[in-house]
Amino acid sequence: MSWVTMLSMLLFAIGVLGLLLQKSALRILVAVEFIINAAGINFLAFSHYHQNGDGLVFTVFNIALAAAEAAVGLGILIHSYRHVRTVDVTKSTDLRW
Amino acid sequence: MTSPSGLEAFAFLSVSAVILGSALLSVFAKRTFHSVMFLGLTLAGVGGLYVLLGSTLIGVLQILVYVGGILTLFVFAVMFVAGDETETDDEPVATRATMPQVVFLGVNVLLNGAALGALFVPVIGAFAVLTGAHPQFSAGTWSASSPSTWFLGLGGWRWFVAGAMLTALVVGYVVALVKARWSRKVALAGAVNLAGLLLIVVGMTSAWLGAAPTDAPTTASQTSTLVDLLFDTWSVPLEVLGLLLTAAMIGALVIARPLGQAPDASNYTKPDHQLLAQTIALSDPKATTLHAVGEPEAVVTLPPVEPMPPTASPAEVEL
Repeated sequence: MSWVTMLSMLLFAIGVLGLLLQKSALRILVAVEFIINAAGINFLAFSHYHQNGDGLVFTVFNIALAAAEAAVGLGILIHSYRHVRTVDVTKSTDLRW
Repeated sequence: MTSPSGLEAFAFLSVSAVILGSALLSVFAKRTFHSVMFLGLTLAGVGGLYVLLGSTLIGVLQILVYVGGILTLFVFAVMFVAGDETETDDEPVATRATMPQVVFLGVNVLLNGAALGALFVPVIGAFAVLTGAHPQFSAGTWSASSPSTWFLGLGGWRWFVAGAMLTALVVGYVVALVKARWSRKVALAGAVNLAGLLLIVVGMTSAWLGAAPTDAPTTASQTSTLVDLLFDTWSVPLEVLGLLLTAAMIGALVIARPLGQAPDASNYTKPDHQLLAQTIALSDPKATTLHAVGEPEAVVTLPPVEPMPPTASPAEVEL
């Protein structure tokens, strides 16, 4: 079993753990960054294993996409903060049953 | 996948300990800003892992974009929503370490203790002989009396540099252990640790610190490989990515616009429809009188325009 893919799986698991356990929307976005980085590690691990340059390209795309996602996610966070004055996701219950 | 040599395994385990440890600390940190700081440490650790996997370019790109860009974005967001967290501001900073913090520190002290022990003659001998890491040990040419072979073959002043880095690591840990405020100093110790480990890893796998330069020529060709692929095979996804980033930027600007402002605020002027109609009526190209826009009383009479003489046909023109 490859050590690097195991590391990627563990980092993904920690990211999902953070995603599910957190109350603050900002810390949920931090956990999403862990998940994206775990995928990036996977890309580069397979690129290194197969000596193929395509994995490098996809790692670059991964970094750029994570940047775009972080920017938009934080914009949404700031906008919703102006309405409900809190980043606590358990307080946003307007659409709940 | 072939199992790595002893030195590669040690480097990989150190970097993965930093990554996983700071990820755990980020998830379980008491305050949001500490969580974001541990995110930065994790991202830098992933950059170090990319260097270890042979891609120095992507490692540095990761640190530049993530730690230099995205982490700054997160810090701005934390500053923006500070004070509305679940913890209040007058709550004292945690003086007792949580269990993940203790585990993280313990594992890193053990790993760095192993690295520091590598400076000493008997330990480095046993380490290298057991793992077969250094060719000098396998070849039997290692000599205890010559200081150039003490730190795995790094010679001269490089040995002092490596020793200084490891001493800084140990000093960082001692500072973290002695101080009462764990939750601030653990991050500092982790950063010092990561900096030292990254330097050691880069030094061990490149020609910078005098080790075997097996990866040095591939770094130059790696950039050209990446550029060849990015602009030849993957050029369309690259352009689409540019469009996506532009759309994300515009979208984030629109979403984060202050409330209460109309979409077409006073940033640009609305057209005056009466003036517009007047301008259109006065802009008739067949008119022989010019009116200034907005001042219909001012009239300028143009002289009549004579029709132009017919131009000679191209066949009759002498060239």
